[in-house]
Amino acid sequence: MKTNAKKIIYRYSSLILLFLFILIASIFAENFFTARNLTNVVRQSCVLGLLTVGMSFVLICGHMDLSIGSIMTFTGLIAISFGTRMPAGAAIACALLAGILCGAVNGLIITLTHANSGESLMITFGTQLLFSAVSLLYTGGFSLSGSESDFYNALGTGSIGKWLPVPVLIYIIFAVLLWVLESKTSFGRQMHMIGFNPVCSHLSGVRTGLVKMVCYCISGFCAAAGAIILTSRTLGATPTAGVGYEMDAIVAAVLGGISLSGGLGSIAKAFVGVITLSVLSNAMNLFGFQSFDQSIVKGCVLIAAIAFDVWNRKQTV
Amino acid sequence: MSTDDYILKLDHIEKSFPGVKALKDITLHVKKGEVRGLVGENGAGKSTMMKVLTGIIPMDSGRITIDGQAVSITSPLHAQTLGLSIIFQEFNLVNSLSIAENIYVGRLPKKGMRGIQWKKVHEDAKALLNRVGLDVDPSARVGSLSVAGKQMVEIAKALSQNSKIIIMDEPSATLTDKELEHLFGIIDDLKKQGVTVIYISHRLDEIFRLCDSVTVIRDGEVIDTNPIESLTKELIISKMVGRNMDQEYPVRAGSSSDEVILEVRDLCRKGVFEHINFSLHKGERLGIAGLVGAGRTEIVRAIFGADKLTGGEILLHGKPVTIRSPKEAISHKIALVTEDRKTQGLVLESSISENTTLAALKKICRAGFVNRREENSVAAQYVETLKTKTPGTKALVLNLSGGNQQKVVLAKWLYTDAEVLILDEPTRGIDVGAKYEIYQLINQLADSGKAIIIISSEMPEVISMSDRLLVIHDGKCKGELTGDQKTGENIMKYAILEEDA
Repeated sequence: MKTNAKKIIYRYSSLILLFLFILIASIFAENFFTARNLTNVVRQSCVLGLLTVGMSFVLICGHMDLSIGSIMTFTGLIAISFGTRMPAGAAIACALLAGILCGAVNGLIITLTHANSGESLMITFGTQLLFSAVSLLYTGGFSLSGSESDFYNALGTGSIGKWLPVPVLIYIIFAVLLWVLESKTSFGRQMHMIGFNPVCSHLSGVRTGLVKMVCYCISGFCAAAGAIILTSRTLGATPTAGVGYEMDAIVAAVLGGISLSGGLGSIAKAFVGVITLSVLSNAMNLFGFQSFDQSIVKGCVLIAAIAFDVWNRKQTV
Repeated sequence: MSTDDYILKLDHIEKSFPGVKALKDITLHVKKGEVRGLVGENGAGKSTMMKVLTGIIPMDSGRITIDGQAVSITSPLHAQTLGLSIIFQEFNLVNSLSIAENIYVGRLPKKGMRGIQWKKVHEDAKALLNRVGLDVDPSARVGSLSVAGKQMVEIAKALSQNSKIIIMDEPSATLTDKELEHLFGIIDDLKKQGVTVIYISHRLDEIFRLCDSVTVIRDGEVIDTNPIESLTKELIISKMVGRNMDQEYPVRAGSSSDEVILEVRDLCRKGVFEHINFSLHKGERLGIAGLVGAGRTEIVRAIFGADKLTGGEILLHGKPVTIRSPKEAISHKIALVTEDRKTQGLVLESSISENTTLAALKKICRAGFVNRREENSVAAQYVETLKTKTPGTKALVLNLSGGNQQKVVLAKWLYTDAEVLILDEPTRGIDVGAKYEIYQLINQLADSGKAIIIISSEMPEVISMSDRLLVIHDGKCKGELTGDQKTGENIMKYAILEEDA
C-alpha cells in the first residue's frame, strides 16, 4: 500500500507541484484567480512554452542546449530587419530557417565530436556566445523597432474571439504537433532510446547522430518561433532579448519532470512545467518580488527539482 | 617440516558471490624465497584469490598466515604493512609525479617542521632503483618511462615497503622480449635476497623459465601443486582444463550445409587483429575461442561495423560488401549480441516491447508512426517462444533476471530476421537453467538455417556448442579445430603456447 502511494506521488509529482503553486497564489494574492490575470499568465507563457518544448527534444535525447536564448535573439533580429524589405510571411520563413540552421550548427558539432551530455552543454555555451556576438555585430548593438505589418503584430498581440490569444493558439498547435512527433512516431521512440542508452541504440542500428541533429534543429526552430512571437508582442527586437530564456526553459522542463540525464520525459510534461513556472513567476510578480528575489526562488526551485529527479531515479533503479 | 619454512599459508579459504562459489576450500602454502607459478583459465578464481589476499574483498571463511602469524587483511595498504605487495596488470602509479614520489607516495619521510627530506627520498629511491636494475634519475617523471620501466618502479615500491612476498599478476602481458629478460633477472635477484614471488601468468614458457613450483587453479579450487621438474606444458594444460563435460549441453539434431553465407578475407584492424580469414556456412555454429583480450570481440565488432577495419574484405553470399555502421550490418542481415548485456545490449529503463523492436522499428511502423498494439503482440510472441519470465511485455527490462534479459536481447535480434547471428559470451552471468534454454535455442536456430558465431571464454561451452572452432591468440587466428580435435588441450595449446606450438 505504502509503495503504491509513493509511486503515485512520484508519477504525478509535477502536477501536484503545479496545484500547490496555484493554491498558494490563489490564497495569498487576491487578484491571481481572476480571468484577466489567468489569461495573462497563459499569454505570457507562450514564448517560454515554445522554447521549452523545443529544448525538451534535446533533453530527452540526453543533451543540453544553452544556445536557444541567443538563437532567439538572432532570429528575432532577422524577422524584424528582413520584414522591412519583404512581406511578413517571407521574413518569418527566413527567421524560422535561420533557427533551424543554428540548431543544425549545434547538432553538427555535437555529432562530429561525439560529445556527451556535459560536453554538449559546453559546446552550446560556445555557440551561445557565437550567436549573440553575431546578433550584436548585425545591429551594431542597437535595437530595431517593431514591424509595420499588421499580420506580424497580430501574432503576438491578437486574439481570436475574446478569449483565445493568437500566440496561445500558435503555441498549442506547435505543442500538439511536437507531442505527436515525440510520443507516437518512430523518430520519437529512437530519441528516447538514445537518451537512455546511446551505445545500445547505435549498436541496434539507430542513426544516433541524425536523430540528435534533428532534435537540435527542432530546438532552434522553436526558438525562432518564440522569437517571432516575442518581437511581435514587444514591438521590436533588441540584441539582448533572449538572454536568460535558456535557463527558464531548463527550469520549466525540470519542473515538468523531464530528466536531465536523458530518456525520461515527454512534451506533455514540458507543457505542465511551463505552466508551473509561469504561475510561479506571475505569483511572485503579484507578491511584488523584485527580479533578484525571483531569481533566488527560481534557482532554489531548480535545484530542488533536480535533487528530486536524481533521488527519484535512484529509487527506481 | 617446521612451520617457519612457509612464509605464506592460505588454509581453507572460501568465498561466494551471489549465485557463484568463487573460491572453494583454497589451501596454498608458499615457502620463503620460492618463486611460485599460479596458472588457471579465465575465471578460474586467480584474481578473486589475489583480491582476498590483499584485502580488496573479504573472505567468507579460512585462515591466512604470514610468517607464522595468523592475520586478517583489511586493505591493500594493510597487506603492505604485513609485507605483502601485489603488482597488478594496471599500474598504480601517478604519471605526473616523479619516480621517487611514486615510490614513497603517502609516506614521504618528514622531519619536524622542516618538511620532507627530499635528499633522503632521492638517495633511498636511487638505491632501490639500482636494486631493480633501473638506471634512471629518481626525479624523472614516471610518465616518461616505458611500460617495463613502470613495472620496475612498481617492484621498487614493493621493495621499499620491505615486502617479503610480491605477487605479480600477468606482468609479461605488455612487455617486449628484451624487457621480459630483464624482469626475469630481477625476479632471480629477488629470490636470492630471500623475497618470495607469486607469479601469475598464462604463458607457460615463462612459468618454466622462472618458477620453482606451479599451482593449478580450476573452477575456484586448487587442483594441485607440483615442483616444476615433474611437470610438462601438456600436463599443466590438461590440469587447467580437465573437467567433465556431461549433460550441460544439448546435442543439435541437424548439421551445417555447404552453402557459404559469410566469408571474411584477410581482415585487419591495425594494432588489434590481423589476417583473419574464415567462412561461415548456412546452419553452422562457428566457435571462436581464445583468452580474454586476444581480439575475439574486436573481430566481430569490426565485422558488424561497430569498429573500423583497416584492411580486408567481407563477402556475403559470395558478394563483397562494405559495412560502415551497425545499421548497414543489420540491413545485410547480420546481428551482434554483445558481451556486455547491460550497457550495450539493452536499454534497461525501457520496456520489453520497446527493446524487442528497437533494431527493426520499421517493421511495426506505418508512415513513421509506431503501432503499439502490433509492437506488444510481437514482443508477447517472443516472450512466449523464448519462455521469458516476466509479468508482461510492458515490464522494464531493468527488473528482469540476467537470463531473461538475455532472452530479450535475442528476441531483438531474431526480430530483425538476421541470417548471421554473432553471439559474444551469450551465457555470461546467467543461471544454469536459462543457459540450457539458450543453448537449445542456438541449436534450433542453427537447424533452421541461421549461421551462428559463438564467442565464449568458457571452454566446455565453446567446444560443445560449435561445429567448428577457431582459436584466436594475440589478434591472429592460430588454428581451426573440427570434430575430435576440439579439445580443451588443443585450444589451450593454440591460445597460450608461443610460436613453437
